Amino acid sequence: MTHMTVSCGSSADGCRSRRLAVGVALALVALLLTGCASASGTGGASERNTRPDEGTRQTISEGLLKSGKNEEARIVKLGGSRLTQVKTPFLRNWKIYRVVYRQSSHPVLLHIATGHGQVELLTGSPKAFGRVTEADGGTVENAAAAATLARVYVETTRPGGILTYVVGRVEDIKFRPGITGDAARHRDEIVAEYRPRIKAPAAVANEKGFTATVYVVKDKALQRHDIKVSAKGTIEDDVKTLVPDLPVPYTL
Amino acid sequence: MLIDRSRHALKARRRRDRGAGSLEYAALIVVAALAVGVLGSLISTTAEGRIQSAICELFGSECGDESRNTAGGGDQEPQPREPSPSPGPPVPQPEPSQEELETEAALNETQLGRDALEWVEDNGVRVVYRAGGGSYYDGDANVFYIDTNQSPEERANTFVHEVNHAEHRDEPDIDDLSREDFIEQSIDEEVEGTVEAILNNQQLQQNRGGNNPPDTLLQQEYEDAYDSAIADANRARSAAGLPVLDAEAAREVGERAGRERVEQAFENGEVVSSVDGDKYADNYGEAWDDAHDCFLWIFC
Repeated sequence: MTHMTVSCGSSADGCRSRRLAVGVALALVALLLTGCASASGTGGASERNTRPDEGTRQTISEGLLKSGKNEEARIVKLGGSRLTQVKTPFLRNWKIYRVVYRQSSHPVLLHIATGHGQVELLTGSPKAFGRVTEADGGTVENAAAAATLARVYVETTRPGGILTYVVGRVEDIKFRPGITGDAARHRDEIVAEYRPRIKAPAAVANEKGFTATVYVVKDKALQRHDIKVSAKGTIEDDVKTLVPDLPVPYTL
Repeated sequence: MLIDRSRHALKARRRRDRGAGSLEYAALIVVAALAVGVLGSLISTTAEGRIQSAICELFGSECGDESRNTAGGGDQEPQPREPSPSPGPPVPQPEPSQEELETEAALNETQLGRDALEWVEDNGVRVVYRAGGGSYYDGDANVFYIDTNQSPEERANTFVHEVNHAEHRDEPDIDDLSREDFIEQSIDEEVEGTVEAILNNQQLQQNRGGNNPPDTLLQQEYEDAYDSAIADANRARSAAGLPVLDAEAAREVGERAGRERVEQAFENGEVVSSVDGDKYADNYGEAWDDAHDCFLWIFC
């Protein structure tokens, strides 16, 4: 440990002011050194920051590059992108991250899993989710965990560019505002028919594990996913389209 | 004697003051040097591109993309350059994909499409055709992503829409504008691109005859508003004893009404983002928040 002594002599006021000046100067030096360390060695503006999750971004980006996902690798590291961890209590070792980048004319949403030094792009790839749950080695112990897994599976493997969301009740369907005539009648029929049927994601036990039911709006379709989840996390998804032409907003 | 002691004490104090002052000065010099270093590094990464752009504009040189690459950083793909005076052996170009050929064929059917293709070629925009992921322009990398799950005509309309975004690359300026102004100008750009896609689809339908291809996003709403506005204007003129609008005036009235209808759809949630279902205004607001989300400016 290094000690720094400032000799003050007999003037107490002068001593205090000099100690204060030197203290302030040293604090500034420390602060600026931190800033320099963060600002240097990172290249362009897209990578210049001291985000606390920079290490995670680096790991994910390198993993995506290895699998040839160059554009996604670049987006993960861009300044202005948000990286948030998805709650996955059914995973022991792997983690899933949601990346949203809005600094472009159209936002980009990605879901990426990482664990055991590997990275999987989940967006648009249901099979990748199965690889993650199997590699993780965790166990789906009860129906609640199976329902959570099924919901996360649907949300994180959704294709990019197609609005997809889980609904727990008919009111969760976002219908297009201001519709009249036939479209309004169609909306009212859908609401009446599916109000008693649509439920929040739930699972029941079967001989090999659990079957979770998840209702989903994908583009203009209302779908029912019956997702078989084994104790080891393998997934089998059976999708039925209930309504192919929901009067929902146009998407861009 | 008392005076001598006092003088001696004063001299000693001055010596101490001189010693301590040197230490302070040294610390301050270090602080100043570091501050200059930090400022220099920040200026080099944030303002360098703009300074280069300004120099390019002043002297009329063609260095737009190079300055963007410097400012944007990242691992951008190299942009096409003019051939050097002594070119090496020709680099084989990959064969265009079927999807690319189909899209370009649809684009070549309309004037708006031909203009869009020419603009992309002239401005070194890289076009990536891929299945899934949606179609959009990434201004940071200067790349078009075209989702081949769309029909060739939808791809052509999207292409025209996205060229509009590319033409407004780095506009509106998210750093300089207020949140409200950024949202408003971003919506304007989105409306402009949507109207251009509608006009492109109308040209395709006109050339091919009938409803082929089918209407594109908000085309019906645009045309209803267009026709309704002209009819209303002519009714008002008739009541006032005036002749009906001539073709040019009618077109102006119709286009203004059509554009306003498209804008209304973006504002009231008839059109939402395919990412999260949010209104475009909400997404642009969040984009502005992300761009200004800094603890201290030196950590931005």
